[in-house]
Amino acid sequence: MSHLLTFALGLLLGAVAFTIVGALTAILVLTERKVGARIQGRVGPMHTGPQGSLQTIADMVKLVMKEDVRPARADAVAFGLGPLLVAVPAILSLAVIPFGGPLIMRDLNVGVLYFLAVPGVTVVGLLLAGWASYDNYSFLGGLRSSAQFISYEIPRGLAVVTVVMLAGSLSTVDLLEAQSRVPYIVLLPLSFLIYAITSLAEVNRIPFDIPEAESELVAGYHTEYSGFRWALFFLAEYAGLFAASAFGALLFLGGGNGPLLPAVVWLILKTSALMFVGIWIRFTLPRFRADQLMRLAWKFFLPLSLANLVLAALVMKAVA
Amino acid sequence: MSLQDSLFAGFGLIAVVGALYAVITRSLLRAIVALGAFLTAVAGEFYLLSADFVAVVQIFVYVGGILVLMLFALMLSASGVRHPLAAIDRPGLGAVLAYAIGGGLVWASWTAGTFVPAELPEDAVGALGRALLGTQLGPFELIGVILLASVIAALSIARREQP
Repeated sequence: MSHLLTFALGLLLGAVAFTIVGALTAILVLTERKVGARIQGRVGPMHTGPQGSLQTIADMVKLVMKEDVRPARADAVAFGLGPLLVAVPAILSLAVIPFGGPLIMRDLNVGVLYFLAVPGVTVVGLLLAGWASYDNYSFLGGLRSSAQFISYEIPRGLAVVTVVMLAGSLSTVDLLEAQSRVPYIVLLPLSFLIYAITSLAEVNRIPFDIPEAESELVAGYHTEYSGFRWALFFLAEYAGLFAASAFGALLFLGGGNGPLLPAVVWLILKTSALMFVGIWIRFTLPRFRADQLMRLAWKFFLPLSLANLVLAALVMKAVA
Repeated sequence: MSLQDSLFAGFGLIAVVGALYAVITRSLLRAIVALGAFLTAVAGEFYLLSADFVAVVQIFVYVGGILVLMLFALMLSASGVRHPLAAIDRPGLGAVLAYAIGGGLVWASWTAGTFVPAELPEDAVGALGRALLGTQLGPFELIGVILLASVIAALSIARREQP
């Protein structure tokens, strides 16, 4: 019966991960609203709890208790499957991030590849959600999100390849060890810039949030969603932002490496710094147009990341 | 039965049910979703057989790439809600072909014996990379040429439709 126990333990771990991501989302949404308010000279939410600190908890309780509305002509199976396929991969992608010592779910020997591959499944969910809603805005949002994701995946992957070349390993734990002296942001500054910008596009953040541009698409792929299913989209967005930032910290900022403090604190500090920049950009830059977004990916980032890859390879060859 | 065996059987069941549903259902959208379940289950089997790299690439290329492309094609073509199997004009020939291929696969896997997870060699991914850029360089580059040709073909088809 021991393997049934292992299986149950795995399920329990999954539930714990989901809970942590839920709490993380609550904290991130509040931070985003507060930071955004400061940037725009406002105070943000103030009424629920001291300094409005319980606002997102109240919002979440409200969302879970809301009625689950489904459009009459929607495809029931795909409509339900969409949010799940968006949220689950976003949470799964956290499995290979080493939070220091034993705090890693799985040290895969292809961890970096895993991190690039698994969030790709969210596109299937977005497309399904957009199609199943039986609504033009949702449908266009779904199509846009997949086009955007596929386009920005390529330069992002090529930027990560330079890190893998330098470290000589696809394991996330080995990456940490390889950066014990110099973090890769010093050696590969261009790769870091490409990774940071394309990651914003991958997680649909402003200025790359055309799949849910409210000025033209109401709310994009999640127009018809409400209640808990809508909350799942939100959860996925913030889990994605966290995962992309944590992975950026791991790839370029040395992850949990640092003096005095334990590794998990360092990783969270570095991740928070990257997430803060993401929030900062959101309240500073306007949204791209769909054609500008595509042109940026294919005519600027793709050649740039290819040149960066060749350059990194040449420099490595010269130094070695 | 060990945990690995039961998980292997579970993934196998998902794969078989997904594959069957993909062929049986009348809705093309559901067929694609079922195909996604099948592809993911096969990735799980690869992982259980210690082929981590193949498992992740299966998700990367097939679920994150091919499946998205299929959905994209379905959604951009207005007519595509009917299952393509409903449009086959010579079902007899198709059935013979399908049984021949299916029977061959069953025979091949039957004679290959039971599955045993391979001992993972030291630095398996590195060895794979060296093989792809060393002894297998010719086929590897050929695949690149085929992909380039298909991109150019797609571009020329897309361009022709513009006024």
